[in-house]
Amino acid sequence: MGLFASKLFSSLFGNREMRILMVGLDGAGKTTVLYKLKLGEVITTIPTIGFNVETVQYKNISFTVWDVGGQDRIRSLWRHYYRNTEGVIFVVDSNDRSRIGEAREVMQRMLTEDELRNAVWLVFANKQDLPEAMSAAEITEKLGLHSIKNRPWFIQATCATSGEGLYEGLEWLSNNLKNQS
Amino acid sequence: MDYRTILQDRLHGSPHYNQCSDCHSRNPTWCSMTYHVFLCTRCATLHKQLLNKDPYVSRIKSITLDHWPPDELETFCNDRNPIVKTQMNCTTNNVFDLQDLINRKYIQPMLSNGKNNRAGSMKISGRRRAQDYELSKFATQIRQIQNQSSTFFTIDNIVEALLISRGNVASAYDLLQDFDSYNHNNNQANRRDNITPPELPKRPNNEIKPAIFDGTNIISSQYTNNSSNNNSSTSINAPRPAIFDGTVDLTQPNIYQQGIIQPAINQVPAMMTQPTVYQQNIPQPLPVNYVPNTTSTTAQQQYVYPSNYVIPQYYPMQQQ
Repeated sequence: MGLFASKLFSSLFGNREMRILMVGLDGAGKTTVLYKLKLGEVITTIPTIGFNVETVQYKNISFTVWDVGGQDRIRSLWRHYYRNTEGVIFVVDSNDRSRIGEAREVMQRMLTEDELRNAVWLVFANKQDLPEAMSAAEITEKLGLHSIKNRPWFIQATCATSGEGLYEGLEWLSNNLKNQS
Repeated sequence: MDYRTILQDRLHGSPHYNQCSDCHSRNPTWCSMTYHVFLCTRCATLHKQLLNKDPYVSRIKSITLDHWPPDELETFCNDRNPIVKTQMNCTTNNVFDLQDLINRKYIQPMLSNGKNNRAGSMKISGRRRAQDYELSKFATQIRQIQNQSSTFFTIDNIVEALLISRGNVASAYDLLQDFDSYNHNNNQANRRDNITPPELPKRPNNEIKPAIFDGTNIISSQYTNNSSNNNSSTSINAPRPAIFDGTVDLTQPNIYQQGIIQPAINQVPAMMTQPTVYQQNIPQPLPVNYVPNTTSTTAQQQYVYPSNYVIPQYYPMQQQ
């Protein structure tokens, strides 16, 4: 009974941690998303070689967000960040129709990884401010998100420069973390 | 062949020479897939920032970190005329200057000449003569341009603009306007009516004295007529007359008699008194005999003055 009470207490009031891996093709806007969440401002980013990691506090959950570079040859390094990851944010450039197929391949390969079998899946359809951007429904279809059966997933239309949709994504992540535990 | 080898050849080859296309720094590691140029990391970042709107979008790609499919490699390497440093010569390090440069280099040519047309970066030379067949080929376009333009353009320039724009009237008109404004600005800059030339250096305005030497005149003015001129130094420095008749006593020259130099008679200079001469009286050196120091443990030899040795002293010499 006491254990139950403490669990309930900590789930309601305690501060919890969640390890998030943020991936995507190069130039999708991962670093911009990360620093928009962390600092609330748009910084001038250079192409990430290696990774950026920041802790973002949202409600009573502190997200440790790992942002790794998306260039083709360093995508093989992503698997070193898979262990203990509870959530994956996959960032897609909505304006880049030519590479959405490549994004689909990369994402589907990640979904088969054994170390990520418990991770919840959040897709950011980024760069929605551009006029030619694909809608979230279109990206859902092109990425084949409907084929995901074994885990919760969610797609969120975002604009990293204005910050639209970012906290909605974090909200969904925090809810699903609560459901799992 | 490996794509790395092909890219390295391209990078070190003719238009690029292992330099960033925008800022000329060495060893660029990125490139723009749209403009087919190599870029350093900072300029690639600027491309990502500035060139992201639709017609100017520049897709950057890493040479080392990205995958290069053969078709992309082919299109990248087969561009014979990429926009490289030869068109916009810039060696700056300032980010704002680079932003301005990128704006001028990639955006404005397209603005002036429509989408995806490299002709915008070209200019009319204004020195080309039109051929007869070109006049007949572009007859209608020439008439259109002449009708719609308020300023006068020569037929040769119109034909050249039409050749550059491949017969497009609107872009040819833009080219002509650019040419006109460029020439106008140049004429403004070159106008030198109001500018006065700097003054030439002037000679010092000294009066030239006559090179006539009349010994008698000088004597009368400077040597004999000294009562009005008491400043004796000028007359000393003046040349003495080169007149010699036998009567002149050289031992006592005239100038003494005229009182120009007063010989010091009354006061006797210090030198004339008897000098005190100090002389060193050094006695003859005596033979030095050394005594072995038997008492000392170190057994060093000691030099000892002999008993009759007189230490030299300095005293004044007796006056003669």
